[in-house]
Amino acid sequence: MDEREALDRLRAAVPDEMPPASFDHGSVVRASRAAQRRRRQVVTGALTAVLVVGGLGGAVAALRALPGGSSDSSSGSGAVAASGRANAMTDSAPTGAAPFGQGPDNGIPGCGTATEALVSAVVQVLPAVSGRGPYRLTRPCPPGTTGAAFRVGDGPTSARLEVLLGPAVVASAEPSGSARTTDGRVVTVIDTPAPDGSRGPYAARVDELAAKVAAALR
Amino acid sequence: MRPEGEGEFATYFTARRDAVRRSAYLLCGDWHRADDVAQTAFIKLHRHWDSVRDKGALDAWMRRTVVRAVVDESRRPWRRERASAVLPETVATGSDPGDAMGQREQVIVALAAVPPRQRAVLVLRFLEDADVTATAAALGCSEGTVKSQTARGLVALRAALAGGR
Repeated sequence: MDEREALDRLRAAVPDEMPPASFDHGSVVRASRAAQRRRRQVVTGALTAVLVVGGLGGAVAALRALPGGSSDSSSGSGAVAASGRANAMTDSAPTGAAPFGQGPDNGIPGCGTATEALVSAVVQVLPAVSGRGPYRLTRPCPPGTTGAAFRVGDGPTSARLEVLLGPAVVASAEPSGSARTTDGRVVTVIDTPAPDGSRGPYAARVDELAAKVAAALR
Repeated sequence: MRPEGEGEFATYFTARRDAVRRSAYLLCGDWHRADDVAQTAFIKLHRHWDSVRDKGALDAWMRRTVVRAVVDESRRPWRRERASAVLPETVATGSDPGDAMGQREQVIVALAAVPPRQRAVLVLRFLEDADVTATAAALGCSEGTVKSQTARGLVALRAALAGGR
């Protein structure tokens, strides 16, 4: 096959029909505004942490400097204590999860991108979804929640199974199940129907799948 | 966003949604992923609408965002594409390779076998009619790289199409 034939076939491959879009103007605007709200919350939280740390460090230093108090490396230990507290505020997440209260700035509100550990656990429990995801989530999520979606039906647009991991159950009007991991996080599994309303094959097994994914996460 | 910006964005979204989806589909060969990429790009655009000064360059901005999203995502460990003899599910079982739909699907499959950056170059240059300069801007590389990636991409596409006969 020569180059010209390859290009002709390439140009002929542009689809003239498309499946219905899974998003519209309204969902885009809602997601954008939610992302902006989250960004403001993160900035506000970070500023508050700086003010609290600065205030605590200054207060401890001031107390230690009072007559009768220890004055050796007082500001140093105060700063260490304060910074330790700051670290606790921002670095409390278990290994493999996104830090609580933060998420990647990928324009998707709430839900952070699934970690490799979560994706591996899902594929381990449900090998049928291997290669059929993970896709980003666009649903609102509690801060510190990560997750991904996987195609579970047939055809170009199909039902999805969404698997989320975070500090709390993710509420949904769709069939969903949840289970706790050994370190106290919550796995939520949600069956999301296809655009035509058809359910995925695992809608009745969401509780079972959540329990298995939670068990697979160590 | 300014109130008039909302109306401008809505107009742009309505006019360009399907074109962006189609581009994303040609880049990744999967309608689900294409919608994810396209939606993410529009969300980013909405968030930054007021700071996009040259509204005449919105298409280029979207093109750059979509291309980079597809190429970047292809690098994730679980997303790494491997050559496979098994056709993806987007190909209808039993489709007649002689009919237009079957041939189109074969090309999409072949395109998916081309490395991501080379694929992006082929889509931009030959399906989006972007010139070398615009393609380089979308990919964040030099024009020389675009030309070499074009040549390699065509070789890879020809090989994939020949293998799929």
